[in-house]
Amino acid sequence: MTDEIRGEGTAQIQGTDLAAFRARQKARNRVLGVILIALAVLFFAITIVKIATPPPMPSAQAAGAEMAH
Amino acid sequence: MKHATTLPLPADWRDFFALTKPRVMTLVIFTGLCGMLAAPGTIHPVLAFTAILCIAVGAGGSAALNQWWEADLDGGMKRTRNRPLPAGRMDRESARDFGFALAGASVMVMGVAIGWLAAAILAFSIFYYAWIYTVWLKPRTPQNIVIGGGAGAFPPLIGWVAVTGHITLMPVLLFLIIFFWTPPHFWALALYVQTDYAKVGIPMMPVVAGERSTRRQILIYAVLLLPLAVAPALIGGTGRIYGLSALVLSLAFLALAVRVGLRQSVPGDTMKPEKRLFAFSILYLFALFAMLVVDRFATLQGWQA
Repeated sequence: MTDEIRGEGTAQIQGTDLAAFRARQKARNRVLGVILIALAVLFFAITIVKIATPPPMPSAQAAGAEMAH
Repeated sequence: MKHATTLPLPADWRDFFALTKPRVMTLVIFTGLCGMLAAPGTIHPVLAFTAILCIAVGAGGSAALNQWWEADLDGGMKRTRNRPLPAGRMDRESARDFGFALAGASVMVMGVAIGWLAAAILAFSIFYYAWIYTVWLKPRTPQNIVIGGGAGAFPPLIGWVAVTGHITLMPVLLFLIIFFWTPPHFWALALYVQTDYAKVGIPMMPVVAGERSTRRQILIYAVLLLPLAVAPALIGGTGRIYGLSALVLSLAFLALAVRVGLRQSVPGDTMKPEKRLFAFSILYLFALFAMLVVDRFATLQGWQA
């Protein structure tokens, strides 16, 4: 892999600039990855809770059910 | 033709985090959590966590939008010139996109996981801070701190609605307590900290209306705060533990505000009463909301009627 980045046109960066660029990108990607995994876990947990919790009964139905008992 | 160049480094993730004003977020999380814990009813811990997360992320999004809009002003003030945008560590578009992304995501998740009333209030609170306060009224009126207080007052209201699903007088009172607490809290600080808001054209009360008027208004807001702080107990929304605590704390707050309101600074003044009022105002809000939760817990345990 060549140690350069080609931007728009023919711009390129080399050496220590590139190392700093890559390090910054890597750190951002790592944080983004952690956030995405955490969100996936959270959405899974929310889904499980929502499935386990019965939806609120409409008031008329609830009154009917209460009378039936 | 090829030429070597230095591309700007992408902004560090820590700068994105700094855009969310994490220190302000701690107060938002605390008051939102207290509103949730004090509300009658129950909420699943996962949903409670989600609601608090959405409140915090929404506050972070509006803070990012605030810094995007005020980047030029921030660059002109000593206190804020090292923020990511004025310091040149991030481009404005990134801050804007980040702010909108956080705001949108927090509202959507709140709506889907908790309920659309809580999501609507969260959306309005973001709009209130990012547009009504930051863009519209902050540069136009010396009452900007009063208006800004409204933005900080939403979290307990949202926390409460996340549990109950509807708005009653109690969460509105919690909103009003923070709303009326903000001016004496901030203006006490503004009296002794030399800010350079005037230099960037923001009309802060001590600069525009003068010290005497600011002191008088600190006193007025502290007087109005006392009945509001006690009101939850008076309407039966809380028990005696909160009622007595709110009365004692508010009387102490008022006593400190009276000392600030009725004096005038002299050259070389140490401004001790103002410093004391500012320090106590932070303790006051934390203690008041903590007592709200303690009161609810005591009621649930059957320790009080």
